[in-house]
Amino acid sequence: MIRLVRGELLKVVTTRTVYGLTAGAAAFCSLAMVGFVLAARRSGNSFALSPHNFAFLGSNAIFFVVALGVITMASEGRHHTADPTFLVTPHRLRVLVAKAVAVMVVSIGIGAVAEACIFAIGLPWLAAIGVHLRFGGITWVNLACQLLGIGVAGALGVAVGGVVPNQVAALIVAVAWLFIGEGLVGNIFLRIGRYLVLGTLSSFSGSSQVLPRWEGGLLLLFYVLALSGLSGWLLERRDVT
Amino acid sequence: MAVIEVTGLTKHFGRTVALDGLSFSVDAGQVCGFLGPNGAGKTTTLRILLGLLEPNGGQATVLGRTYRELDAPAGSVGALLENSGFHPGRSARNHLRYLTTVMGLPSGRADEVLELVGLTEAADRRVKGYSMGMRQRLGLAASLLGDPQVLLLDEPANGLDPEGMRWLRGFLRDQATAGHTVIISSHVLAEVAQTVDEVVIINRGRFVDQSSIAELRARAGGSVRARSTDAAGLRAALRDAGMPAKRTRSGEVEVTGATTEEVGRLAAANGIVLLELASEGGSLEEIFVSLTTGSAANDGTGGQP
Repeated sequence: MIRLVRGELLKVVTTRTVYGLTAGAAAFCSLAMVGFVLAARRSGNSFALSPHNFAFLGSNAIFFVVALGVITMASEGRHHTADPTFLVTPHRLRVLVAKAVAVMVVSIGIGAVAEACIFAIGLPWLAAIGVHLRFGGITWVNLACQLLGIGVAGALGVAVGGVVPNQVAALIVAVAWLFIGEGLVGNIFLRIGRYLVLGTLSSFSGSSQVLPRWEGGLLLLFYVLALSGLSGWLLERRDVT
Repeated sequence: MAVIEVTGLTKHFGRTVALDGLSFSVDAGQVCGFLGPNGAGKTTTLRILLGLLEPNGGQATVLGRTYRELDAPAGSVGALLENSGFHPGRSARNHLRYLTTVMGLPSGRADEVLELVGLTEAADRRVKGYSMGMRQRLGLAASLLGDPQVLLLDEPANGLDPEGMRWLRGFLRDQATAGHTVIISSHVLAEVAQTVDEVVIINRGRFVDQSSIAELRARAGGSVRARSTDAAGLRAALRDAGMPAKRTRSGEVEVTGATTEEVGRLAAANGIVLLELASEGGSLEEIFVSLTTGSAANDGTGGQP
């Protein structure tokens, strides 16, 4: 299994996709940070500029890591690379698990790069305008949970790519759900939003306390396991043509 | 001992019947042509043998087990499949490094097979810049990584130029000499006739024939003509080898039921100089067409969608 995970890691890092998505995540999170700081200053809400709210802006990387997970899995069909993959490892469930682990590791890296950009750009800027953020122990715990949550979200993308084998359709489904679907459902059914992916990530990383951290984490893990189970079931039965 | 065993294999794609109770076997050390017109079910059979498709009925085993049951599948069976792909943004070396990593082989093995197929100089180029022939060579390199006992090659000559074809023939001969069992699928008999020991012919997902090339040629009444400085000696040598030959008016030796390779080797073994060697009449392609008249592709009853 270790060899398989190493192989999948090699696959992920030997195409340009991962570097494009990392750059995209860093740029998107940095822009979100700039917008957030400008909005906080304009409204005069200095409370909003807390260390934790600042650090949580890196969670926007979730869109990119989910896309990475989807592409990692669904591109096997798109580029017909599923043949060599399943010839060298005929037990497809093992391939799914290896891909999920590999993408999880890389996703944590993408989250860390995005977070580093936010800190590198944001902290000197805030200091220059007289805002000095002090990061206590709990903020670092929240940040660690956030990165772990981003990693799990990458694995969720792999599962989506396994359920929807068409790469374009899988990307649209995953990103549209996170960008639009969850917001709509959360607005219509106020109590449900906290149990959806972004809500659970928010609770797990301590950004919102609508759910205890452990409940948010468990729910996020449940989504990954349930969707991965469905993905594995379909993969084992689907013909590779 | 049968290395490949296909028994009562059936596969449907919706209403399309791709395989209809197909059975055949291939013995160890054979180079076997797997022939049939487009849509006969060749690729479907190979994909079932490799565990990529699930049959609706019957069984297909390699080395006595289904592909999934093999202990080191990619180390035992090498495969080149039609439409099998490579990520366009990944280099050939990195594609092979993925496979060596998963198979637990030293990464230097990737460089060895790249050299074997003549891709060393292009190893670090992204595959999207490769020609069709280069992709075929890369696919062959991947199939050889584990030095497998069995090679399943689906239309390996696709996209190869004449130089590539010559290289492929040499490559297949080397594999046969090394004692590997090789199955080459093709819809052009002439393409594989110089390389294979025997052929399995299928049509509309059903077994049609399994014969050696010499048997096929003999059945069609084809012959081999040889011009030699010692026609009498050659005839005697052929007679001793169980290949009765006659002398033509022009002084050439004509033998039926043999291949040019067999006659050439026999002459060499007996120290007889050959000035010319050619096969005539009853072309293999004609035999093939007569055996597979009414191809599945034409009537839409077979093949993978």
